[in-house]
Amino acid sequence: MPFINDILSHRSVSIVGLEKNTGKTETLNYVLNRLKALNTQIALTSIGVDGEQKDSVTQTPKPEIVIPKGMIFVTSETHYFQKKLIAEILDVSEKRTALGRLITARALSEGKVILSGPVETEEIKKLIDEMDRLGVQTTIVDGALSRLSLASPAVTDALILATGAALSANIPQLVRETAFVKRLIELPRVEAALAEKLQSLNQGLWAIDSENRVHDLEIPSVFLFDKRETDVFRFGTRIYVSGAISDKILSFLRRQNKKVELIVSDFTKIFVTQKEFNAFLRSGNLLKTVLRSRLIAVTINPVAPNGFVLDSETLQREMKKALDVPVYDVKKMAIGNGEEWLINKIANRK
Amino acid sequence: MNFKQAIEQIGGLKYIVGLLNIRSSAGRKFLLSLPFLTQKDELEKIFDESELLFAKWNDDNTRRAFSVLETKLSQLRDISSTLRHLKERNVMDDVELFEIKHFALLSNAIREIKEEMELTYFRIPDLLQVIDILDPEQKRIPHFYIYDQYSSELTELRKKINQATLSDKETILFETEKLENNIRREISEKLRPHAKTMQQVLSELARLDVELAKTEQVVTLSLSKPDFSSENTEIKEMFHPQVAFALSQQGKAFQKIDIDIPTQPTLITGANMAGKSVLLKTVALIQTMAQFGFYVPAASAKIVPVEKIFISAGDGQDEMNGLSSFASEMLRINEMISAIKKGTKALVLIDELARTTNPTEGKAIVCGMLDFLIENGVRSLITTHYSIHLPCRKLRVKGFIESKSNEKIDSKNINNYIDYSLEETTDNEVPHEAIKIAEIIGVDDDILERTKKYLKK
Repeated sequence: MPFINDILSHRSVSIVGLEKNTGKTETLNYVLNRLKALNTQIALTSIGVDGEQKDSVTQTPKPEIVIPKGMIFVTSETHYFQKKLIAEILDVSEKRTALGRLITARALSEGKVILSGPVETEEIKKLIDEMDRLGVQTTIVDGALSRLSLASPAVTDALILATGAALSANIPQLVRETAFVKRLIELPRVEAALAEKLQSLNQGLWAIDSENRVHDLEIPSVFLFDKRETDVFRFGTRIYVSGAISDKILSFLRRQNKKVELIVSDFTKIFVTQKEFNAFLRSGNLLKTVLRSRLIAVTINPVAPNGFVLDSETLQREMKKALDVPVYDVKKMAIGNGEEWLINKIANRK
Repeated sequence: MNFKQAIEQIGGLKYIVGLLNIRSSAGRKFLLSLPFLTQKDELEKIFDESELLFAKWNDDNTRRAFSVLETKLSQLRDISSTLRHLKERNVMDDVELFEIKHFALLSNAIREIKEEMELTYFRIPDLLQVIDILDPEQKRIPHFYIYDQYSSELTELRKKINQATLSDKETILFETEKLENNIRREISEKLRPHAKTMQQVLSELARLDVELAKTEQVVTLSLSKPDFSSENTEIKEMFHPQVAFALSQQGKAFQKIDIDIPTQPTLITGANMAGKSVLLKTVALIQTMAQFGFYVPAASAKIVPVEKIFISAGDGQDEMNGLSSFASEMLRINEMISAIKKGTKALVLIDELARTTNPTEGKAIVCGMLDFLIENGVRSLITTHYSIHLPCRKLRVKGFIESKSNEKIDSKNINNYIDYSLEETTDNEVPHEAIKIAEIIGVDDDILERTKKYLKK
């Protein structure tokens, strides 16, 4: 499957669900299962916590993450001790998270683990670097997409998006929304030197002058942006927002008629409607990111948590047409490959 | 006073510590707990060891071994809480066992390098027995799990897991866990007798880390090994690294100076800007560094160890305590006096004693204090702007040199026209150069004219 080869050609890949129950964990398990047949060293971690047994919102059972034998995984101390497999500890981090230090281990048998990795983008980056030392070819990150998360899956070289009926039960709309996310992921990146400078800024709003010097606009939050109209462009029209951006800020900037270049950390920080996004760009403004990833595949889950099922083939076809990346149905690809655990799971459900 | 307190109290020490390239958290912890040494022979022994290390460090043949040692030390983890756990008869979990194995392997590797380098004064016992307990596969790699080799029963169970169906798997896993727990208990029992030795090793590795960082700093900061004496403290060409650095940033040089401190008070006079405060701070810094086992910022130093260093420099946050600067100064002085009365062997350094009150009483306070220090034979330096007629040892900062060239002296180049060195004097009068200096640094003419008028009256 080209999808797996594409994964292996990247140093790090994250798998991100656009909504709960869009089949992210199924995608992950499928990928892991395919990779285990290959003779390459893979590492697995996550951003924050995942792998809980039941979806805490909708109570639908979630497939757990099954680590194949030989794979390296990174999880917190708390979850390491709850593992359902035999594993050899390779390293213990000095830094602590809320769930204890991070344990790097190699699975000596197949089994289930709850993954809880680093919580900051910088830490994930460091971790991926350390994996090199252990001879890892590709590090897979179970990504979270959350306004609250400090870490972003955009830190990995490539991305797989899991989308599906849980996001929208209307095929054209679902395709449109997913295509919009792809556009955000593929927004142009700022120059490497500037990206380096901006990455260290975790807070506030900044202006970048014509000589690439970064100035603090001394506005603590984007919510106060329009209250400070007079000062905003004193260093020029390149603005970096370290946090999330909304329609409000785009429409404010658009109304200034200044041809602004707005820079955000990465696509996960953009919470805007397509309408406002388009209007912003059409008025001659630019939107750029510090981190840029590559979308290598989309997986779809045609089943919504409420039981509504979309037509898989139509969805797959429309999605592929609009996004121009490989699209796979998680349910089909899992069963099609005779995954014992998933068949059992479905049998148990009935 | 331990080192952590000294960093808070002695100006300029934080700067030195900030530049120390300590590689492990265990080393940093060790540094902060360093004791203040007061015995001459104890200090001499420590410095003899430092000197040996320094000689090795400068030897091209051992240079490569040092860089290996440094890399190894950067991998050292502070496992003191794990070791305490072990000593308290707890059963170690896999992460703790991993830590111990990692530590023991690292320690033995460092031990080997150390033996090769003949660093005999670091005592690092062999932890081979610990390694053997945690490495039944004899692979000598710092990875850990409850190995199959620990029990044949475990080996069998694990074989079954891989073939079991989903429902059987849970039961087998449960049994495996029980068995593993027993093995952890056994391993912990076997490790327990080594806990104390491992604590010693950890502390010795931390010490090695600190000593290496100190050795490196001798070169980068141009420090010298101090000698110890029981008579006079004599420091040649001393400098204050932080101030020297700040000056060098402005393209200026720090003038190194000499000072002797006998067992009696010395009164130091000199114009404003003559470096009296920096002088006291440098002496405090050198005395402190020497007694914590550090080489010192001077060309040479003969130091008389004391039990306590008192410095009153008046730049503390007096207002924060709700006291006036005079009141807090008096309380600091009182602390010195009561310690001296108890027989504490002290070095007393007071910058401009009683400067914040009226000159009549201020002078009297200086005389009273000098009188007390003379009677008790206290090694002390007191700077003042008052003319004191009491007979005692007096030093004067040479101070202002008249401009020979036509260069205009201003606040930027004034340092070039000050000779900071000290000379003995019997003169009771102090320099009257305050207005001249105010003029040079560009204080408003209006106020200077008015001041001069009053001076003539």
